[in-house]
Amino acid sequence: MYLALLSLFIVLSAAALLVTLTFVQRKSRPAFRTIPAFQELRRSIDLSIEEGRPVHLSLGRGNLLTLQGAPGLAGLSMLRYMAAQTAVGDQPPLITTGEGSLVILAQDTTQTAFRAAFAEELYRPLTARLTGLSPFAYAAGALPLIREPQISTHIFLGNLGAESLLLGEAAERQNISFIAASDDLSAQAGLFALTSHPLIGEEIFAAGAYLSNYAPHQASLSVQDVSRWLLIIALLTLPVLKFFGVF
Amino acid sequence: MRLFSAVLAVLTAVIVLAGGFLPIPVLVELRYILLQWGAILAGTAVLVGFYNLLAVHLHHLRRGGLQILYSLALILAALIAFSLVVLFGPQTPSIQTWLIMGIVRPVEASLLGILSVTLIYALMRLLRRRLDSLTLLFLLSAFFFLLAMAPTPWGILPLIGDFLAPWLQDTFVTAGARGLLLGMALGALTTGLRLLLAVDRPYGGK
Repeated sequence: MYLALLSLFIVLSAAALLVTLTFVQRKSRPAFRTIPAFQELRRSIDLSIEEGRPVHLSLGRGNLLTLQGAPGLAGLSMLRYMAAQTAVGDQPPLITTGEGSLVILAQDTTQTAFRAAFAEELYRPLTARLTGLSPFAYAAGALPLIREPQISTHIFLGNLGAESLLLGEAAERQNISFIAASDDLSAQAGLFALTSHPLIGEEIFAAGAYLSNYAPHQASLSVQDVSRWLLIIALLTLPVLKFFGVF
Repeated sequence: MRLFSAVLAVLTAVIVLAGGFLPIPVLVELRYILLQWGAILAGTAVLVGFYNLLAVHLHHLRRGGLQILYSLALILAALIAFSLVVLFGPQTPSIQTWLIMGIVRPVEASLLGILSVTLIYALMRLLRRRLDSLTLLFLLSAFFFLLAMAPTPWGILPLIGDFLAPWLQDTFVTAGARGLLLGMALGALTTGLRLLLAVDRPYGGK
C-alpha cells in the first residue's frame, strides 16, 4: 500500500513539474548538451529533402499496452518532426514497424503533419508498413527496404532487440547516414558497434526535445534531469539512513 | 472529434493509472475492463497491420520488378497461415504449434546464427570507422568477457574467469546497466505523462 502511494506521489509530482516547467520554459529555452546523433539527423533530413530521396524510420515492435511501447511513442515524436520537414519535399518518410497499433499511429501522425503543412495530397498510407509480427519476421520483412538504394538515411528508434543488429548491419553497408537507438540493452551494445552516431540509454526519449521547439518536450527533458538528481540523492542518502537505523 | 478522442484517451489513462495505484474496488474493476478492451483493440490493430502487410505486397505485385516472387510467396504464405488458424480455431493449437515450431522458429534460429558473423564484421568495421577511447574500451571489455567465458581444455581461466570477470560483472556492469535502465524508466515516465496530459496526441490530434 505504501509503495503504491509512493509511486502515485512520484507520478503526480512529475506531472506537476512537467506542467510548471512547460509554462516557465515557454519564454526561455533551456540549454541542452550537444548530442551528435541529433545534429547528424537534422543534417541528413535536410540533405534528403534536397536530393529528393526518402528517409526510413523503424519504430520497432513495442506493444503499446506494455512498458516497451514507450520507445515507440518517442519514435512517433521523431516521425512528427520528420514528416513536417519532408512535407516541403516530394518524398514522405518510409516507416516500418512490427506492431499493428504503431502502423495506425504512424499513418495518423504522418497524415496530420502533411495536413498541417497543406500537403495532404502527398500523403500515402502505404508509407507506414508492418513488415512482420515476430522479431525476426519483422527484420526479414524490413531488410529489402533497407537495401533500397534511393533511401538517404536510416533511423531506428523504438523497441528493437537482437534483430536490430541484422538491420543495422545491412544499413551500415549502404554507406549512408544511419542513426539508431533502442531500449534493449543488448541491442544498444550491438548498435554502438554498428552506427557512427549511437544514442545511449534515455537519449532515445530526447528526440522530441532536441528536434522541435515544442515547450512540453523540452520541459519533459528537464523533468527527467530533475528526477535523475533526486534519484541520485535518494540512492546516496537512503542506505546511510538505513545504516544508522533511522527506518 | 479531436477533442473527444483526446478526452477519451486522457480519461482512460487516468482510470487505468488510478486503478493500478489505489485499491478502490470500483477503480480496480474499471481498470480491468478497460485493459480487456485495450487487449481487444490491440488484437484488431494486428488485423489492420495484417491488411497493411498484404496491401504493401499487392502494391509490389502491381509495380512489378524483382520483388514480385517474394511478394507473391509472402501473400500466399500469409493467407494460408491465416486461413488455417481461422479454420481450425484456437481449440486446435496443433496447427499454430506446427506453423510456429516447424517454420517460424527454425527460420528465426538461422537468422540468429547469422548474427554472430554480423557482430564480428561490425567490430572489424568499427575499428576502421571510429577509433576513439570509447571504442577501445568497448572492444577491450568485449574481448575480456569473451576470454573469461571461453571454454578452454583447462576449464575456466584462473583469476580471470572465476574472480575478475564475476567481480566486474557484479559491480561495474550491473551498476551501469541499472543506471541506463533507471534513465530509460524516467524517459518512459515523462513520455507517458505527455500522453496523459494530452500534450502528445499521436492519434490525430497534434
